[in-house]
Formats: sequence, structure tokens, C-alpha cells
Amino acid sequence: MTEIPATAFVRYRAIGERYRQETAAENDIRRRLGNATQTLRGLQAELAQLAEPRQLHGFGGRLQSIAADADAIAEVERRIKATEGEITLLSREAERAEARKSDAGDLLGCCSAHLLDLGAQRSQLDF
Amino acid sequence: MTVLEKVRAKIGAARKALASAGDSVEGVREAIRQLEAERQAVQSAPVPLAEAVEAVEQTIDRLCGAAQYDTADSVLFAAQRGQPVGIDVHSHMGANFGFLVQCLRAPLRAALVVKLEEDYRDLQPGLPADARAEKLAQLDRELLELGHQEEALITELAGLGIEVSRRGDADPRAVLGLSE
Repeated sequence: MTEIPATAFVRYRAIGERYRQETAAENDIRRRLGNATQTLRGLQAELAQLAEPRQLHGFGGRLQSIAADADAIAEVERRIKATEGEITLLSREAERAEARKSDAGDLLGCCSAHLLDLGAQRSQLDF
Repeated sequence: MTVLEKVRAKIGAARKALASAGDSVEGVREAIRQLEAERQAVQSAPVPLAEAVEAVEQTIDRLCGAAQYDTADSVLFAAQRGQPVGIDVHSHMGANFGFLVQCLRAPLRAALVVKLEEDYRDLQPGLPADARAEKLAQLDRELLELGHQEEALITELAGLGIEVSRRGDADPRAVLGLSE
């Protein structure tokens, strides 16, 4: 059986740590993506509510009411657009983070399999 | 030159060094990709005609081997078990086929070789088995060496605070700093 140098285990643990970091980074992006999606749903509901026809009580009141709603609608629409943009960016970022995590995971798997082939104990591969 | 200009110049130089370091890792990776493509081509190239003919002969031998089934059991003793007497074609399909191959061995071999020769007219065969194994071993050694070079660069850059992601399909021996 081959004598495995201690440096190999040090490197292995560094790769494990990298995998852990990539996983945490991806989870963080997914959490932000989830929050943004939630915000978008809230804004869409708000927009639907604002767009609903109101009961008007008189000519003067009607004009005033329409003007106020149009501003509010425009503001919500602006926020929806901004949130959609954020979601697009976060989705791309999440894909990249997932690819990095996947690469790190594949490498970690190959390294642990190789060390086991060389006769390492499973307990030596904990990190 | 003002202090700000000096700092800017240093930042510019650092950026260039960073780009150059990234290029050197990419250069090694490109060399790895090319070697891997060469390895794939060597490995998957058609075997020489002589080896293909040998493989056909081995296949015929194997099929003939399957013919040594218990015909006696199938035909002679079936009655003792209260089964219809005769060759049980369905249960012994492989054996029957093998028997057929055994009977037609010579013409079958000749026909298959003719067919192979026809197919090989448009093929560019690869290396013979020994040379192929030798070439693959040589390419594997070169790939491992490049893997070690790539890892050395990544480690050196990490020491300078520059993180370069490792490839998911990197050779674990290179990444772990092992020779085997």
C-alpha cells in the first residue's frame, strides 16, 4: 500500500473547505433570489390592488383619485421593473455559483475516491 | 509624478500581472484540452484490420463455445421429464445459434472478413494494440505533468491572494500533489 504524504490530506481539506465556501455562496445567492421573488410577488399584488376600479363619490373627487393612483401605479411598476432586473442578475449569478459548487464537489469526490484507493481511512477524509 | 499617479501606475501594473497570471493558467489548461483531445482520438480510433479480424475469430470461437449445450438433455431426456421431445428452440436460442455458427464456421468467417475489408476501405485505422497502449501511457504522463504545472500555478496565485477555481475534472493526483 502506498504511503500517503500528510500534505495530500492538507490539500484535500483545503479542497473540502473550498467546496463548503462555494456551497455557502450559492445558498446565499439563492436566499437573496428567494427574497427578491417574494418582493416581486408582493409588488404584483400591490399593483393589482392599485389597478382595481375605485368607487367614486363625485366629479372633483374622481379626478383627484385617478391622479393619485396613476402616480402610485407608476411607482410600483418602476419597483417591479427594478426587482425583475435584480432577479435576472441573481439568477445568472446563482447559475454561475452552482457551476462553481458543482466543479468543487466533483473535484472533492474524485480526490476522496483517489485517497481511498490509495488506502486512506474514511476518518482521515473528514474536514 | 504625483502620489495619485504613482498609485495608479502600481494598480495598472498589478492588473497586468493579474491578467498575465490568469493567461498562464489558461495556457496550461488549453494545452491540457489539446492533449485530452489527442488521447481521445488515439483511444477511439478504429483498430487495425488484423486486430478486427482477430476479434471476429474470437467472437466466432465464443459463439461456438455456447453451442456445447446439452442437446442430449434437450432432445433425448425431455420425454423422461414428460416434456415434448425435440429441440427447445426458445429456451436454447443462444445454444442453437452457436450450433449454427459452428456448422457454418468457415464460410461465416470468410464472409465477415470480406465485410470488414469493405468497411475498412473508408476507415483510417489507428495504432495497433501495443503501440496504442504505449502512446496512451505517454499521453497520460504528459497530462499528469501538465496537471502538476496547473496546480503549481494555482497554488502560487493563491499565495498572492488571487483565487483561481480548480477544474472539476482536474486530475486528483495533481491537485493532491501525488505522483500516483
